[in-house]
Amino acid sequence: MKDQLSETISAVMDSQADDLEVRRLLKALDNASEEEAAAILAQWESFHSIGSVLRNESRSNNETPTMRASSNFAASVSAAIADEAPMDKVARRPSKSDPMWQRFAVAASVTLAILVGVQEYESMQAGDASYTADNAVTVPALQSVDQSVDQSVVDLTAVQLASSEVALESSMSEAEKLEAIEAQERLNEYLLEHTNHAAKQSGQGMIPFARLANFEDE
Amino acid sequence: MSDADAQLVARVQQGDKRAFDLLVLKYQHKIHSLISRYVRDHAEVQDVAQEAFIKAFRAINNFRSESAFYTWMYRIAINTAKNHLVSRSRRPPSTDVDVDESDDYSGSNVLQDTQTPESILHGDEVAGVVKQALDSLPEDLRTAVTLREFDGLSYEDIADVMSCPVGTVRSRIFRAREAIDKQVRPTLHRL
Repeated sequence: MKDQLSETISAVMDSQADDLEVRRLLKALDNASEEEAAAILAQWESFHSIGSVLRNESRSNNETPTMRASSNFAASVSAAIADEAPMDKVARRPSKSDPMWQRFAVAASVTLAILVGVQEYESMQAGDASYTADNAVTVPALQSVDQSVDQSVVDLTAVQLASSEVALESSMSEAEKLEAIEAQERLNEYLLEHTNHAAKQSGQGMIPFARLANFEDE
Repeated sequence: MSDADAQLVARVQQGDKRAFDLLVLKYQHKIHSLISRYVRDHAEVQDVAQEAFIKAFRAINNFRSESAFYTWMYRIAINTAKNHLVSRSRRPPSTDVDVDESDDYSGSNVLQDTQTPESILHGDEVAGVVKQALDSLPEDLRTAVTLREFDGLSYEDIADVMSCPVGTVRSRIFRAREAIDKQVRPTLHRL
C-alpha cells in the first residue's frame, strides 16, 4: 500500500482530511483488488484500535477479545447490505428539541393557513346567491366545455341549439298571433250574439251591430 | 475540516457503501462491547451487532448531523439488543449505559459485567505492547501521536506546540501509527 494512501487514512480518522481526500480514499478502495482493499481496511481498523488502546477506551469499554467483533464481522455486514439500498427519508415530526423560533414558525404557518381557509369558505358562502343567479350562465358554459371534447359534436350541437332557439322564438310569436286572432274572432262572435239577442228581447234594444256598422258607412 | 464520521455518512447517503464499511470497522468493537452488556452469548452478540448495523444502514438517510454518528448508532444498538431479549422472552434491563458515559462505564449490578481475569490479562498484554511500541518511537513521532491521542489536539495546535508545519505533523502522526501497528498487529491477531 502506498504511504500517501496510509497517510490519508491516518488523516481521515483524525477528521483532518478534506472531502476530496475522503473521496480519494473511497475511490482507492473501489479500484483496489480484493487483497489491496483488505489491506486498506485492515490498516483503518488497526489505526483505530491503536488509538482506542492509547486512550484507554478498550479497557473501560471492556473490549475483551471475547467481546470484540470477529475478524470477518465487517465483511459479513458488507455482504448483508450488498443488495440493499438505504430507505428514503421519512417525514419528520417536530420534536421538543427543535428551537423555539422553528416551532413558532410552524405554528404561525398553520394558523395562517386556517385563517385563509376560513376567509375563503366565507366568501364562498357569500357568493352562493350570485352563484344561483349565474347558474343559468354556468350550465351552458359547462356544456360547452364538455362538448369541446369532440369538435364535430360541438359544432353540430351548436348549430342544433341555435336553430332550435330561433325556431322556438318564431313559433312562440306565431302562436301568440294565432291566439290573438282567435281571441279577436271569439270576441266578435260574443258581441254579435249578444246584440242579436238583445234586439229580440226589447223594442228599445240596442241597435243591431250590423246596422250600427251600416250607420258608420253612411 | 469536518468531522470524519459526518464525511463518511454523507458519502453513504450518496450511495457509497465503502464508506459504511469504514464506519462499521471503526465502531464494531465498541458496539459489540455495548451489546455484550445485554446479551451474554458471544454468537448472539455478533448477530445482534450485525442486525444493528444493517438497521443503521437502512435508516442512514434519516440521520441528520445534529448528533454524532456514534450517538445515533448507540441508540440503534441498544434498541436492537432489547428487542432481541424480548423476542427471546427475556426481560431487558431497566437501566441503560448512558452514551456519554459508555467510554468509561464501570458496570452495574443489572447490566452484565464482561470482565474476567483472562480478559483483563489479554487487555493488559495489548496495552503493554502498545506502550512498548510508543516508547520505542523517535521523540518527534512520539510527541506528535501523544498530543493527538492523549490530549486530542488538532493538527494545527500540534503544529503550534511543536513549531513545525501542519503537513509535518500529519506525516509524523501517520508514521508513528504505522510503526506501532507493525508491532501490535501480531499480538492483536494472536488474541
